[in-house]
Amino acid sequence: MSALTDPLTGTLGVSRGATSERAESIGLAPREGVVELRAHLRGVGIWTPSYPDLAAWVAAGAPDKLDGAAPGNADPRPPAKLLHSRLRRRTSTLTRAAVTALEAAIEQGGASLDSVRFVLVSSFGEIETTVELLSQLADPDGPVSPTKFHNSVHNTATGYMSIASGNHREATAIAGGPHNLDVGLLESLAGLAEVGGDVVLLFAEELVPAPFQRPDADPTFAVALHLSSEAADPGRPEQARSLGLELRLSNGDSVAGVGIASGIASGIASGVGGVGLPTMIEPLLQLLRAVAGAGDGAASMPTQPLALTAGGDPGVESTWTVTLHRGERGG
Amino acid sequence: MPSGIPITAYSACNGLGQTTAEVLDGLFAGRRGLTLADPSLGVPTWVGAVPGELPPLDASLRAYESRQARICALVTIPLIPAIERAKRRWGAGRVGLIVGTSTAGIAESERAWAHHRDHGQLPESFTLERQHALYATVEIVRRLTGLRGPGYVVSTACSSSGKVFASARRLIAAGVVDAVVVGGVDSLCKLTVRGFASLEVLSPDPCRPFSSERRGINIGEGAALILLERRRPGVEGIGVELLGVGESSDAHHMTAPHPEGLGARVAMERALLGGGVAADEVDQINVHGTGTTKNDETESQAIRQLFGDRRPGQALSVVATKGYTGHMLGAAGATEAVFVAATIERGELPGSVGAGPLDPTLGLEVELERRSRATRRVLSNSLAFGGSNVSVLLGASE
Repeated sequence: MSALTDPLTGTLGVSRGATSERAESIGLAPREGVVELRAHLRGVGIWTPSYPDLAAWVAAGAPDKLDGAAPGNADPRPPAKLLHSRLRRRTSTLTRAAVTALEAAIEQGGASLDSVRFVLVSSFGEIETTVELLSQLADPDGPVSPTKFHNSVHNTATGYMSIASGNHREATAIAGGPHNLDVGLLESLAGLAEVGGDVVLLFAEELVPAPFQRPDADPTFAVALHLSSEAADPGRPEQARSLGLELRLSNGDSVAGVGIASGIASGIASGVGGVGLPTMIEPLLQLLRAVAGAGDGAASMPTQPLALTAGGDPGVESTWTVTLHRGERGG
Repeated sequence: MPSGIPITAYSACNGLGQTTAEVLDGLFAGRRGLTLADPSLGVPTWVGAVPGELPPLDASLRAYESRQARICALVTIPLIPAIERAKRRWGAGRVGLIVGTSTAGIAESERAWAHHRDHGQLPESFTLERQHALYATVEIVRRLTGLRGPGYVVSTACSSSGKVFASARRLIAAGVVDAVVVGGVDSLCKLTVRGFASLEVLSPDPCRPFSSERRGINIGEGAALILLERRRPGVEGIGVELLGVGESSDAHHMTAPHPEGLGARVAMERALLGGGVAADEVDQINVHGTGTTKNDETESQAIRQLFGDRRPGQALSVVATKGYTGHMLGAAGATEAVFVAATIERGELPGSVGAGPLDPTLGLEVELERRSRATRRVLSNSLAFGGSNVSVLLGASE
């Protein structure tokens, strides 16, 4: 038997010669019945061309439309202060929007930028850059930009995030079609269940450019959720502004009867079988409204948890339900 | 003492052949699956293209028509009997589906863009959600198999279908599913061939990872799917298990690997930690080995740092397989996991085609010729743009 240490977290493990509880648990019998995964939701961030932060969107009445004119906002470029100007110059709207939302979420939640894990969810990723490349490729003899090529990958934003923050933790970039919300939460919450720590779950799209534009495509936006296995500690200055909320993701009937947000299932159902583009922003805005309604630990939290049914595809059996609860504050 | 997740079936297609048998025969026969690139790709290089005409799609999948969809169907259909058994065992909703791809059906988007330029409209056969979207690859497998568990695409460039093993392991560990079909699918397109040409890393010859005569990479296409099932009496595995997965970020550069191979080393260390395996128990590494000087230098450093002080008699077999298939990008990790699984099953190592004469500055003994050796603990590395690294630890069942 020899000791093993995680080079990034310092977590100790042991070789197979001894009992390794974490490795053991994976091979064991399935858990019966309902699966429920939980995480503390400590911070949220948002960037859209009209609403540069959550406060601006809430102040405008938390509208469905994200591309309406908002007073006082004339800058369509997300600030993305985390990126050095040398990096920022090369990056897309999506990458900057995601970085901007990330900064807001962890500033509120009080996480360390160099030790959070990133999960990016997007249907079309770096679509502006990709379509620019398609125009270059249409000329058989023309040049292809190497920068645009490497900036067209789905994990571009998480790559820049890790570079800018010196973060060596794992980061992933996924696409779940009509299930973007639930698979993003599954990937993030399963990771928290496995190793704990902090995850920033990012949802982002760019408006699909010509000639591929579609009336049913989501607008340009980024939303970031700081999810943690630990409740915020209000005694620590950097966590004092954290949300005291707990997010639960469960399948089956554990939350049956709780007010399911209208419009979510129908919006997602339109994406079944590739008929129309599924919307990711609609359920996210429902979630953000619930967060905003919960206030800063104030009495405005609904007594009943708000539930979002993130599913509705007959091709997928489990319907995952997202609920928010007043979390236990640590300390 | 069971701790891994058994592999119960796999399937692969790539430049070596359309079927798993052809692919593995080619691998162990030392036969390259590379050909001169079609002139329409616009670059004088070699590619690993799936040979022959690809079988047409079933009528129910016609709307997904693309080379990506055909390759996806080609690799999925042979796995259907094993998937049916898993569905009966666990329920269709308890089997997940996590597939890596880097560019999905973007070859169709390339044609659609030019068609729009020439005709003022997109082709009628093109839709954003069925041809271009990454997620279409999951929809195709879902439609062919009737799997009803959670499904998504992992798209982290060249580490995509290594990282699917990490996601699958998390979902199984969290009790979300009992089995997962993991894999990777990518198809040849101008975007990757001319994109890598713009980075000046394409080889004009068949690629030669770890050789002093290397000249760069070849792009390949193909797919691999692997069925992972929770251990239970009656689950007949192939004798190979997923023991651990390690992920890391270089935090260094979008395309260049960390100069000391930091991310690659950390990914391997974390895979060992997750699997409860000490470094001196590892007896084989399937390297990322793309065929660029930078990859070979940094990956070799990472391996030497982690395994350099092995005692005599504890041979570490290093195998590089991209000389067979080219770099299959989002399909590389899953394909090389199939190669590793076959290696463990057969008790023999494939040669690293093209690797001779070895670059003596790398300080690694790379396997050049096929030979008998029963390996039991094997790492497989995939390193990607954005500094995204993953190492998958497979092992022989106890």
